[in-house]
Amino acid sequence: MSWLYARALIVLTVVLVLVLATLFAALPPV
Amino acid sequence: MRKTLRAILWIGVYLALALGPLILLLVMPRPPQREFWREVAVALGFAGLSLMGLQFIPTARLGFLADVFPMDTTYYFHHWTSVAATVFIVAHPLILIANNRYVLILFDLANAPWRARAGITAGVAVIGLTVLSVWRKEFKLTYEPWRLLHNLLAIGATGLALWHIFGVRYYLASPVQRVLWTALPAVWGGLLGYVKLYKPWHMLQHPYRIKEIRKERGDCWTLAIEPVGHAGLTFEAGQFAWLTIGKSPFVIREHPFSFTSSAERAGSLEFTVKELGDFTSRLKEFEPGTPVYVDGPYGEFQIGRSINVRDEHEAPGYVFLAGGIGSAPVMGILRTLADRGDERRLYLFYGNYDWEQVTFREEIEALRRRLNLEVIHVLEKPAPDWEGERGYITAEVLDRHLPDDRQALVYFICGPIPMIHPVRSALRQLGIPRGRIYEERYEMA
Repeated sequence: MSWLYARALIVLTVVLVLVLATLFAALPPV
Repeated sequence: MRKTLRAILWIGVYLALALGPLILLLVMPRPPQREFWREVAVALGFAGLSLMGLQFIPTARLGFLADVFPMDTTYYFHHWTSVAATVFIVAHPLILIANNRYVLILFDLANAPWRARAGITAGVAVIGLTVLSVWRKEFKLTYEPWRLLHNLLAIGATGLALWHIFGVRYYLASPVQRVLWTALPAVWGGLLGYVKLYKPWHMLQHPYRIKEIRKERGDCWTLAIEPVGHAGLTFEAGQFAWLTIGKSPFVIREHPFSFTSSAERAGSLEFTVKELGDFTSRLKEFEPGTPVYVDGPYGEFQIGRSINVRDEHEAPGYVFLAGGIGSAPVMGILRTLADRGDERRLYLFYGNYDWEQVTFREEIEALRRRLNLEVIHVLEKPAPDWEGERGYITAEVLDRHLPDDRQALVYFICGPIPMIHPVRSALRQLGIPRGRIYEERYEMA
């Protein structure tokens, strides 16, 4: 059971890193 | 429920530590923006480093985390987040080169600036670390030298990567970023220091010694130890501890083993180990009186907080599904329940190769007289006159022996990975809710 959560958290981490990296590169500095 | 809340809290802390650096880069004032792909590469580099740093948090050795997350799951998580971190770290220079091939000049190590040399060496160390971990068995590396190399490469790569980002100093010119990238390694190093220095010191103050080592069926050995000059630790049935035998606790020589003795008998502790690898095969060579250092207890594969609170699952009975030496924690649980005079229904489905190799066979028989316990031996290669179950623990075998109210019972699966998956599927096939199935895998690094 906990393995499913672990897998989901790994996928979530990778997706969030990619989203944040894209936003960082695309958006101008504040 | 409290455990679920704690798990959610720690997952939140993990996400904050893993993604915090990227979020701060995004929302804080920063220097002028450069090309899109260059910035993507930089962001992936920072993300890779923060993920790599988090791997220093020794989840399995910190009680407040080990109570919430099963050790095998945290190792699985460590393994795959490290692979993801490696991909991000390798992508960092590759994207930079694809974006601007003049970056390749920095790979001329003879003439490159030190910040580039540090970054490239860190990258090579990370690749080495990951390759040696994913394919350790293919490289024929035994556990102990691998673990030493693993630790040295991890510390070296992280130190060099920090040198790299402080040396490049583009984003780290900002005081906020400098504070962040000083505080994060301080947290990683602090936790590592707690486990590698404080804990061994504490263990040294509470030593044990070997009382007896006795042979068991199925190439197993039981190690009995007793405390020297202190009362000894208390644990819950089903938990495990890390043992260092005959060496200083400061030396990297610990191994995790399940308690097989009763949690109700304070003082002396027992662990049963199957001869599998180099260390487990050497265990029988230790003499009585050899010092042993115990770090524990750990693990959430457990029943009962104390003798007064019967158990946290409120179950009318338990079903144990053990494969081979997966019976070790189950024996600890059965002995504890017998000492507590527990009268609930218990079932033990015990898979082994043949009758001679059934570890604890005689003692399980004796426990049947003290407990309301039904034992179903399932043998892979039984003698021709064997009248019991044959093959593996399948849905059909379970269906033949489980009572009609099977959905109300709590299930503990413990054994090697090839056994866990089919047994879990078999239980699901019989309609057992996921929340009533607990697992412990006997295979990690």
